[in-house]
Amino acid sequence: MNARQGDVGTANTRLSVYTFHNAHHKRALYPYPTVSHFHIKTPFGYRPVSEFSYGGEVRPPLAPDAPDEEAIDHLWLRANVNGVQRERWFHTSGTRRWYTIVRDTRTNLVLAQPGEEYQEGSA
Amino acid sequence: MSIEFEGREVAIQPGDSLAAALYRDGVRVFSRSFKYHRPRGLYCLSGDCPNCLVTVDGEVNVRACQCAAKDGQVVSRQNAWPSVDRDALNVIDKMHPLMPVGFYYKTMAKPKFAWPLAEGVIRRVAGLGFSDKSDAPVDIDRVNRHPDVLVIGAGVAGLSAAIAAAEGGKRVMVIDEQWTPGARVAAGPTKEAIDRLAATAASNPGIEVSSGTAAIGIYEGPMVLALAADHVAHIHPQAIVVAAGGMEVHRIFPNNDLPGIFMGRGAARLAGAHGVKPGERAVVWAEQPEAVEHARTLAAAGVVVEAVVTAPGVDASGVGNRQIEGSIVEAKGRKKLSGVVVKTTGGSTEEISCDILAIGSEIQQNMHLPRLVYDLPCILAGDSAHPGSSLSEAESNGREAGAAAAAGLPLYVNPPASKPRTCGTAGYVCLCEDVSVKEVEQAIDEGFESAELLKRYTTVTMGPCQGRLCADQLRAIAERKTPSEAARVSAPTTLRPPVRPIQIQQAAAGARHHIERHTPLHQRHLEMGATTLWAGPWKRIFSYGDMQAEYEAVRHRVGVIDVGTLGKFLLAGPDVVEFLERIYPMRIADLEPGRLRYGLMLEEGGVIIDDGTVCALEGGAFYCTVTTSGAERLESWMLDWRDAWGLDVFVVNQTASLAAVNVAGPHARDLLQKLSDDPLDKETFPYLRHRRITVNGVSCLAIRLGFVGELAYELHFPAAAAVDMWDAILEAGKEWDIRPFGLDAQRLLRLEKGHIIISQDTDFETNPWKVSMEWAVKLDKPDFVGKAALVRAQRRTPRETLVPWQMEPGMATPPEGMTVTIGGNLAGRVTSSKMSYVLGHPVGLAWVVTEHAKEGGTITIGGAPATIAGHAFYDPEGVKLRA
Repeated sequence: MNARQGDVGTANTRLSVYTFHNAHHKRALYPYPTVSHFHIKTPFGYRPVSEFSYGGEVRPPLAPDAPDEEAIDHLWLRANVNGVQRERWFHTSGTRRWYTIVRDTRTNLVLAQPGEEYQEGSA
Repeated sequence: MSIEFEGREVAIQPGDSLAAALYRDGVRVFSRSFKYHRPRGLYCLSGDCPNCLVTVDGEVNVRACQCAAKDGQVVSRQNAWPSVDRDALNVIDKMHPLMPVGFYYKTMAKPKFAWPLAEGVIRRVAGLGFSDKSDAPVDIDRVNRHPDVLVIGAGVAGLSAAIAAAEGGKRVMVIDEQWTPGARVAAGPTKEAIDRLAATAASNPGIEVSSGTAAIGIYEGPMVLALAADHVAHIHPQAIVVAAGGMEVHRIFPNNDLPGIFMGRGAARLAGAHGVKPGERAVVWAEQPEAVEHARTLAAAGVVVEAVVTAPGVDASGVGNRQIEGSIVEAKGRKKLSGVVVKTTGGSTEEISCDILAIGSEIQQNMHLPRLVYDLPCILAGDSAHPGSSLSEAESNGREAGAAAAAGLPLYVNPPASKPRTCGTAGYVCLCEDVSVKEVEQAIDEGFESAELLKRYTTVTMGPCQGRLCADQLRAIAERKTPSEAARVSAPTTLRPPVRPIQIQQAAAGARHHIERHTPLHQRHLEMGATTLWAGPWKRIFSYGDMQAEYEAVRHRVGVIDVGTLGKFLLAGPDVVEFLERIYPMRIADLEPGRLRYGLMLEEGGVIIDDGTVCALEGGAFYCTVTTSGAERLESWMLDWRDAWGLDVFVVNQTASLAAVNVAGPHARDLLQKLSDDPLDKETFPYLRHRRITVNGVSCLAIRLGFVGELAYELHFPAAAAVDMWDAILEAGKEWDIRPFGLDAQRLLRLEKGHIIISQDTDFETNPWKVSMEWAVKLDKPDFVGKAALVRAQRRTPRETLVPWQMEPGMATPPEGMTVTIGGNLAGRVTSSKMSYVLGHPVGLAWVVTEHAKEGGTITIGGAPATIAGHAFYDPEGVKLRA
């Protein structure tokens, strides 16, 4: 089910058990549904993010002949994206391997798991 | 059995809570309110309101209704002077006009000196109990649990869910904050249902019911934090069923906080579960059918039910002296309830005299836990899903939730939005923080319109109850006052853990639990009287009691140190040389099998993060060691670079599978030759070489290194052989009076050689130039991590340089960290310092501003002169280690 579908159920629908993904409170001041927790796909299945350590955003390597300005930015600055970013996670308490995912930093939704292609707008 | 209550004995009965025992004894006022010192009595009896906070055996703010009465407890009430019954501070209640909401922001700001004075007074007058600061902190255990399904709440829905999940083959854990399931439910159909289900659950080996355990938060993982009597549990289930039940809505009307006013379930608990008669004459306000049961419970306990005030549609016929359709609009009384004003649906008002009022208002979900679940695999059941469920609804609903949890599906639920509430126009919204409707309205008039701002300004929802009574009411007032902004204003305030009050020491439970890694020789070391210290996650050996003797053994005879904590990596694969060339700043490609090289590790900024050795093995593989504390970090660091470069390399972490000992001293060769038939002589096995040799029957990788400055062999071999190897070495070394040595001796041995320890002598901006290790960096290599930064750093002279220094014999050794001055100006600091036994004077390393960092220069360390040395203090030519 599409994660951005908002209020699928309310207290008025007398379903006995609500079973759907990522439906959240309406947050008037913040228009995105957010999640506090997500899973990353490993060869041993989807594992909770609490097993991983964050490794930061994926950055292009620094060219050996880059000008000083660029080298300094590369060393000290990060894009700190408010939106979709490719990033690295190390499976500290598990497979001890790195995984690259695409995540929306505003919502914590994983838009592409390791090995999956991410296309703009595909979320 | 009895407790001591404010200097007198109060009898207790089995099953009593403190609240029940004290109420039976005639105590009616249990606390004084937070700000205005209004008398407050029992209200909810479910741990949801702040009215019964007392001090028990020195522990403040214990909820009397949730605390089991035990023989000999010392109990007293809080926040009143001279006593809770006659509280002089109640005069503040007459001063409302002088104390508008947020008055301390407004009135004490000027003149400036007023606030510190006022603050002292306010802190004493307002607030809760005073904690005994002399108590030693207690380490509370943290326990990790891993059931398949966790059910929160052992009511009808929760137990049904647990049974259904267990029938689905799952291991189920049920937690409930009561002593036993249903302990505080009055006799009746609900109690019978719980007893029946609890008996079924108890006979099912797949279900563990953990009573007296309160869930206080649901976190990602999912992980549920729960407080038990003697420990804090971190529960990591696959699925969670939240059946945390419901509670009655806090109703607001003038004097709604008088002692004698109960929530319906509270009055029923007192009368039905504890057998304590709450009063003589009761009015019951029945907004829903369950409240009619409460009226029956009260009547059965001998209370005269003067009237049952019902909402339209609630049938109370035959219960109580009268039935009136209407609602309660006001309570009368000064220190306790004397009557209520009823407004009938017809519009007339009438005053009824009574001493207790039981408010059986609409049931709302205990919203705190359900609102924390977000996208976690949680399923709501019972009142948590549908507030006001009937018994049969709760049971079928619970079974459905349990079956869904057992199916192992990642089910996600949306907590039902809280319903719009109505709210009276006067009375106390917030019992915890003593805030009335009028004050909230005034704050809105001042411009604090959104619920979040109102909360922060008035502190409504911020007290011990954390908004469970008042959050919806706050929202209702905000909506009523500013209907045009309703959408924005009505956002519910954010609920956060803890759901129940917890002690700081409970929050810190397990803070002092550390992963403690031991080498296979650890027990041997302890048997020899070793003292230990932390090194990363490892416990390493500091000393075996006589550091100088350990030192002397290495310098003059032979010693052995356990270096099994070193990070040990086997690297292999088609691209391994290319990989190592890029990881290390020195050259790797020309390293022939059998040789080894010291290597720094740099991060991208050129800062030294680790050091160790690289051994080229036969067949193209490499064996690398890194420092004790760096092993974990560097494994992920290396793998990250490998992925970034796309190189075909395997990195195998052998840190735990291999043991390592370093046999060092002039007799090291003689000793090992006793245990090995392989040639160890200088020509076959020279310095900076490694060989695979058999020692004591075990194949070892032997590495000739010089960290301590003597002839030394570092043996790496399977961890299982460690103890035998250690014993054999000590036995063989007896003829040279061998000694095991610890880090303390090793630090002096290396300091005499001028070797640095990464992170003791270096910091977060130390590059190789600053520590005079240009020889370890080959800038003519195409690329390596940190090269871009080092090339640029090379253009400038570093501000400070690390230099070795020595003092004259007889001078005191300055402590590490001591400042270095030159001509009275600050010029650096000491990073290592020790008294050298072989030289007879203090030696060390220090950062010194580069222009003064010249060999032979004089610096002042803590007032004493020291000379900068140009080379290692001990054996500068390295003759001994090449022996």
